[in-house]
Amino acid sequence: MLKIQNKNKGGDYMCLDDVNTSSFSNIQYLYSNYREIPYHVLKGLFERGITQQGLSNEGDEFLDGASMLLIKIHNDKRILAVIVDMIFCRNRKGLFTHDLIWAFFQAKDPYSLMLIANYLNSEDVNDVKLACQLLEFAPSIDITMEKDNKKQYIDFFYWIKENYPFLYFTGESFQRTSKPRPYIIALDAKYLCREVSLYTGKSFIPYTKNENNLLGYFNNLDECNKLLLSNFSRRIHYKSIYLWKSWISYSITNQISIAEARFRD
Amino acid sequence: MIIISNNIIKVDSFINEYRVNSIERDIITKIDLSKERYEYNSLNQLKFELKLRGNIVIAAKNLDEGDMSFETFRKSMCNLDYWDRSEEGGFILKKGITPSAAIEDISINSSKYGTECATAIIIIYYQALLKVFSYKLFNELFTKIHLMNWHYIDNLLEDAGYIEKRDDYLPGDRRYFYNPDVNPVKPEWQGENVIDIGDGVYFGHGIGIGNADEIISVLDEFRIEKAKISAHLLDEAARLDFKALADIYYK
Repeated sequence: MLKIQNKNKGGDYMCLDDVNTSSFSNIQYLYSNYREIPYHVLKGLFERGITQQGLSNEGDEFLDGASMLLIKIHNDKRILAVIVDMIFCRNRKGLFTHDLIWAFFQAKDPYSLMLIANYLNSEDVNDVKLACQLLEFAPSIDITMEKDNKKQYIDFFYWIKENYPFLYFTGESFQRTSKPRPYIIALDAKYLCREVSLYTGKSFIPYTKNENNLLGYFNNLDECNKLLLSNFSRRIHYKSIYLWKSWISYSITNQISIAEARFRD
Repeated sequence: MIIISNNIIKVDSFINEYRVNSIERDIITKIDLSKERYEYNSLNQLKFELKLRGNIVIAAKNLDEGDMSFETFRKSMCNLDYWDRSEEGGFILKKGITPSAAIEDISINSSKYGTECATAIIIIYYQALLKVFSYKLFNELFTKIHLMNWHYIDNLLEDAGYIEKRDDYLPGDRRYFYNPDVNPVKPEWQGENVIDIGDGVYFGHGIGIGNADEIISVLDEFRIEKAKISAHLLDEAARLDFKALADIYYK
């Protein structure tokens, strides 16, 4: 049972006597009083829980709860690496990972996906399988695992690097779908090389009249051409803004022809 | 619009086979009036879909009336005479047990079962298929069953895991109510998988039967303090591959 010990400068200090006994009451206490538990106390409980993870279902449930609170309430992203390690460790043992996976993605931090990508290089095939499953929304990932793992890792790294400014969080999870896409690229913004909000997928600055005009044509394209133009736009913009400005001033038909020709070369 | 073997079909020729106000008639009317092309290789293929959708709705209502409890994966439970409970909280068909008997047991001994909304949908699908296929065919098709949301879904049912925007929404569809501001200590209420049972009414395990406002009202109770966004019904649905299942049925 959680109990209050000596007060310190930060306030009440709480510790778990033993995470394996009375764990049910610890979980109930956590869920009922999470608003009153200070961050440093919750963090301490989490760190203590890690040392005893896997010993009991209730202990792991407590750890999951603490993880979700640290991420969602306290926006603590420093625990993400530990959470990813826990996910993969439990997966190898066939243990419950559903809530931890949800908590991880709720951090809304695309760069943290590299923590999962690291497991593409694992020697354990179960690690690679799970990493592919979690990152399958990225085109560079091959769920069949026929692609070389190191190449998958590198391709994913470059995919994140190229698309980070245009990613937005969808909230999709394994409760909703068998193939969640927690992040989606705002193709229209990528086409215009305008960074978007991770939370809304909308540009931070309103589009100009000219940009809206361009989007009028862009949004009527099929998915294939949208991908073509947005990818080409980003790459040419990265190489030379002058060349990009020249290209984007062409008609949409010419933009497509140029992009097709350049990607063919 | 209904297209059968590349011909636009007038529904008068077969709609009277179905009762007035029935689920099947409701579906026929909707797809007939839709701008979307609903294409089938044969009238039998369409009739199979109608039959299966009708049984999905019945199975959903039956599950609501049963005693299967709502439990998170960590606390899920099943009848161990028929199923092994995995460490993840899923149910694996026991060796030596007939698949049809195990699926039927979920209705017969419903109080021995407890799971969450997504797994409940899979159970509904299996129960509906059991009413449509013969026992022999069902047992031949589904020799291994692992009930745990969309994770270990049988290949024949895998389309049920993909949810996407549709032009129309029909009884028997899986829909999803999303609760973005869910309280993090209640992640099981991050959303609710439901079966569309017609007339703007849905069944979701853990909530029951209600219209969209009623389901949203329940989900909103599980939001974080000072939540800004209400739960809402997504403009998407998942469907079984009715045509593939029909082809198996008629083979």
